[in-house]
Amino acid sequence: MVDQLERDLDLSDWPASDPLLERTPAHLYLDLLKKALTRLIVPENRRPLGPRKGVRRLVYRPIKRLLNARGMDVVRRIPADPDARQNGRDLPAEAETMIGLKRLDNLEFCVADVVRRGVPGDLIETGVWRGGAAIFMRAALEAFGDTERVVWAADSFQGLPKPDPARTTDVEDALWSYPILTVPLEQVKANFARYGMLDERVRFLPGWFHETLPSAPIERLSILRLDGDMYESTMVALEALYPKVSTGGYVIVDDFAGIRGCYQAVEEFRARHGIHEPLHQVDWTCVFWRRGDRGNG
Amino acid sequence: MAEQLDTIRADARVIDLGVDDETRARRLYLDLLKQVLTRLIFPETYRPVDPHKGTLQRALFTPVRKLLDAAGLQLVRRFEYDAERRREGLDWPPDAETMIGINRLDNLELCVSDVIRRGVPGDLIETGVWRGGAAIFMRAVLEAFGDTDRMVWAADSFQGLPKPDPRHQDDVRDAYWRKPVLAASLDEVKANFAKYGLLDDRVRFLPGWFRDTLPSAPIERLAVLRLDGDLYESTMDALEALYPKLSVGGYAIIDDYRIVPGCNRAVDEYRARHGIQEEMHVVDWGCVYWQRER
Repeated sequence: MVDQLERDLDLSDWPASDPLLERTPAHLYLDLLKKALTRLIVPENRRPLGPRKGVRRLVYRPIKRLLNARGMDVVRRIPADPDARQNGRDLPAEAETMIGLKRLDNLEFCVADVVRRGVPGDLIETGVWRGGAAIFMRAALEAFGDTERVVWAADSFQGLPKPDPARTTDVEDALWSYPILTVPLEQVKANFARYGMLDERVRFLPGWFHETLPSAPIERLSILRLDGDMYESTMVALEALYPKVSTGGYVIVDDFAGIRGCYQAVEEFRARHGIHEPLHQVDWTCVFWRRGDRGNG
Repeated sequence: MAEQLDTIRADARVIDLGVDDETRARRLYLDLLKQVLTRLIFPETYRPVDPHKGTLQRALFTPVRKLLDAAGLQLVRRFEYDAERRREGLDWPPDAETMIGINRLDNLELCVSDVIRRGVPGDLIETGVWRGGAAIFMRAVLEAFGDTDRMVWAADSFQGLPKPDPRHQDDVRDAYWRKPVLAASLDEVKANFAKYGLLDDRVRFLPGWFRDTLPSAPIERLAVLRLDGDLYESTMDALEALYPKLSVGGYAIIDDYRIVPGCNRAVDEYRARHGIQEEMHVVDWGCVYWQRER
């Protein structure tokens, strides 16, 4: 798989963020938004101490009860891990996104580019978790003065599906069993609202992808951001939506190197449809390509 | 004067409704920054237990805290977050970089953007910065409006408020020096500027008691003088050292005029002594400002 990856990847320096934007108000805004969405602004989390078992629990329980009755608690201080936030390597307790700064930089670059070059089409993320990356897309449209495009947020809003038992890689990953990956629609909407980004230009597609994506009233896309983690979610999204991606538009695959099922789906789809646009690496797991780019090999 | 400011506000509204991308992006940036600096956007849940200085509780708690610290633990009190109080600048936040609330941040934006627009010469200073929030915001406004010259000065003891002079009984009663939450170290403040990407050579710190640092500070001129020193003495020291440097057309902002008796008295005395007649405008329950006319 690594060999395959190296063969496909075009590691020529694609700008991570857009140098034209440096220090403009739009960039200042999006930069601050990234730090807020990833909670880099809050460099420490606190979690109440609560030993689960054994002598420690026995000893601590009465103390805890005493403290709690006085509105107090002992907490463990958990410093944020800057590398994890930079590269999106952890599941943050409160942040609206787990994708990290590099992938947000990439998203800023892609949105800025399609707006500037007038590449037609809406923006979609398939698999939005708490909504962070989709909020960021809506905010980037606002910052760049786009007044037309819609941001689509497709998600079950009830976590990941139980995988097809035949897809052994997905079965191994067992992401469907992680409660932290389940975020209800109401909470995602509240997160959009918190950043002042919930309006009629944000549309939600709640349900399993195979039910919602093929019939979604989307005409064209300029950005297709896949973050469905599994083989099936990725394949269904590509089949339903890739034909709608404009030439010059971007396909971003969040979990390409990190999750085998996702990697297989992308490789199969690209092979089947003769897609030769070079893949560009964003960070340790995310890649993207621009539709219509000629390969350099 | 009041009329003039209403016009500025009206101008700002008209611009916001317009089509200028840069203005809209600037609005987005500064609004989000206000939300984040006040933590209106993500509420705090705990406040570390930190008894007042000079009390028995503090003496008893200090060894406990050291033990907990060493284990990466902290004793906290659950914090009853109240968004309305936070917006109004009515509480002392556990984590937020500013306690001044949205109205005073709005006023600060208005003053800084106005001196930029009118080209009123001079730097910006806050005397008494706590965790740095308002000073960070001033630096951000300069950045957002593309100002490339002015400095932001942050004057503070960086060790909390001084023990008051016994002659000023109002200061003695307030006993702010005892409140550990009001002390933020220089390192903490610098880290806060850095977190927002706004720590650069255009931010200058004046660490020390105001009477030692302000008279000799290498400041030539000021366009915005924001006083947030809370005490009679801190306010008077800052006015005497800095008001003469305030440009005509610049702003003097007094954070605690309407609420802290010592601060109120210092401002009234200074204005009377120097024949300052400019009308004071109310920002909120605590803060006032005036624009220097001569």
